[in-house]
Amino acid sequence: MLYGLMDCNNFFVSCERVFRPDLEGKPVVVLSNNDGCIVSRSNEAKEMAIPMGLPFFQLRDHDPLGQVTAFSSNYVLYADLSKRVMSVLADMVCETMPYSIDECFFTLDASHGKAYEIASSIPARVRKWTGIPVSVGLAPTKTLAKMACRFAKKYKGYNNFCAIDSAEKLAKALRLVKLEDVWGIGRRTIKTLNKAGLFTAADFCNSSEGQVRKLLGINGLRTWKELRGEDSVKSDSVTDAKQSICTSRSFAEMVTDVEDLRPMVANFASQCASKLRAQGSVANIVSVFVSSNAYREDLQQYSNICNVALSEASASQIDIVRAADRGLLSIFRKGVAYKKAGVILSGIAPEAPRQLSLFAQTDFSQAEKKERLSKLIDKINGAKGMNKVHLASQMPHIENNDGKEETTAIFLNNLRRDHISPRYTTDWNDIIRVKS
Amino acid sequence: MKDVEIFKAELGTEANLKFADGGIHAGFPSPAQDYIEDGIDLNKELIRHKASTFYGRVVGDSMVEVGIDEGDIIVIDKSITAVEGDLVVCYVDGEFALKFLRIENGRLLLCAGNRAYEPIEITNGDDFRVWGVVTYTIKKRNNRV
Repeated sequence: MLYGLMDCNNFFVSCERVFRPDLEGKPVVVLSNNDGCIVSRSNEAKEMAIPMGLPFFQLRDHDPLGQVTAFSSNYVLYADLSKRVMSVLADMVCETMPYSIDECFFTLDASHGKAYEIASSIPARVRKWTGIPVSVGLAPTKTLAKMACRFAKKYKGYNNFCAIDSAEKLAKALRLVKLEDVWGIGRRTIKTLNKAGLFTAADFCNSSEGQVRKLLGINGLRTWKELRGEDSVKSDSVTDAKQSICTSRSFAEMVTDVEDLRPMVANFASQCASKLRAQGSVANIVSVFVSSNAYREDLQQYSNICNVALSEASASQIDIVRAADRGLLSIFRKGVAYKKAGVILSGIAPEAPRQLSLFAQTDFSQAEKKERLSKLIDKINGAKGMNKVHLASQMPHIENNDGKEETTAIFLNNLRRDHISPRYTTDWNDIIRVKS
Repeated sequence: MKDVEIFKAELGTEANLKFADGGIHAGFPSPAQDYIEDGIDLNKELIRHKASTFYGRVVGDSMVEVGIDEGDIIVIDKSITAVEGDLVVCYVDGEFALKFLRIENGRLLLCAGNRAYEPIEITNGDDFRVWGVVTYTIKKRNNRV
């Protein structure tokens, strides 16, 4: 069996370009909530040395001629296009394991010799069907697939596809890749490794098992094995991709009843939310995915993903669990035996300062935290008059009547979305205009 | 007088009872229930590939002679590779345009469905791309709905 990783190129920017083909080849950026800072850049914007996370108001310093087109984030659009991309991929491969809004691991059967052919045709197919450019890496392990995908993305000559499928290619790849660019090697451990004289993936690979265990422990050993071509990263895990959080699990026994699945998914969502708050962030998209057992061909095969764009960025347990539940109910199909499910949070941004003050104390237990929050809300409401502050979860939409808008203002801070594109794929009023 | 009067059961008519959708969880699904749930789904008829299908709204009068008017909805499938004669959505001069693709003497032409519009020839230097192939047009026929 071979692993693949499909990674969308500059995903948010690419989504905008699907409906603005005139922006191909031009510098484009997408801004975070409230048009605060840059969260996605086209290659042209990267070439102009516009850094990730740059506050929007400083863009002019890097773009004196005003060449850059900036978009407010349109998470509804990105959620829809992500689903399309994943669905095209799912039709081509054996098993898919979504990893973030714009990344998906997959497996292919290596025995019939068509894995290379199939994987190499993914970028062109996804691009044609959805308009989104993607890169694909193929290798014996997930860590190596991720590495292959980096090559596919970095060097134009690969045409968005790179396979590490021979000993020679593996050796060459390991020599070229710095350890900090290896999936699973954290920023903190890199110092330990450099001190021990290890700088490239090859250096690390050539170390003895004992040395790796001594330096990094069991987790480091897993990465070491993966780099040597031994499949060791279990798919059940809480992982951090770039700007996303994923919790997923394969079930020991297959699950068929939706009422059994709902608490599990709620649990995944809750774990993701805790992690989100611990890092002081908010999410914009909650994705839920489910799949049957791809290796039980005798059973009905089904996998699906639902991306729920939150009406407002949130770190609230209540919002995230509820969105995940809604998503699950929309993709649950009766009669399928489910082997795996998971929740992914994406469109992650720093919390607004005012919210941070409410949630910043992460050491408190859930109950205490809620109590503190309630007390604080009571205090504000007491001072400012009734119902000035609500839990964000009590506010399903921002476009409420005037009275409600006033009460949400404390959280929303007059959200800016000055450069938002239409909801081309989810709103009849926003579909493309075609001149005849 | 008889103690019991026997009435003949009337078997000539049928009362159709609808299944309460979703009310029954145990056992095999009833075929009758499936029949009620399925109905006719336009999505299934009009969309072959959900992942690659997009909608557009027609603006302008260049297709009136082929029955496409302003305000009509077009179903666009990006997965289909355009061939000569196809009605396509292309991106040209900074906007989406509805055109017939024609090839004449090795020249690529974008044609309208209205004699008032001249065909546009696409040459190498032009910024032109086919965005998707039109599979259906949807037209409103009654303004009261």
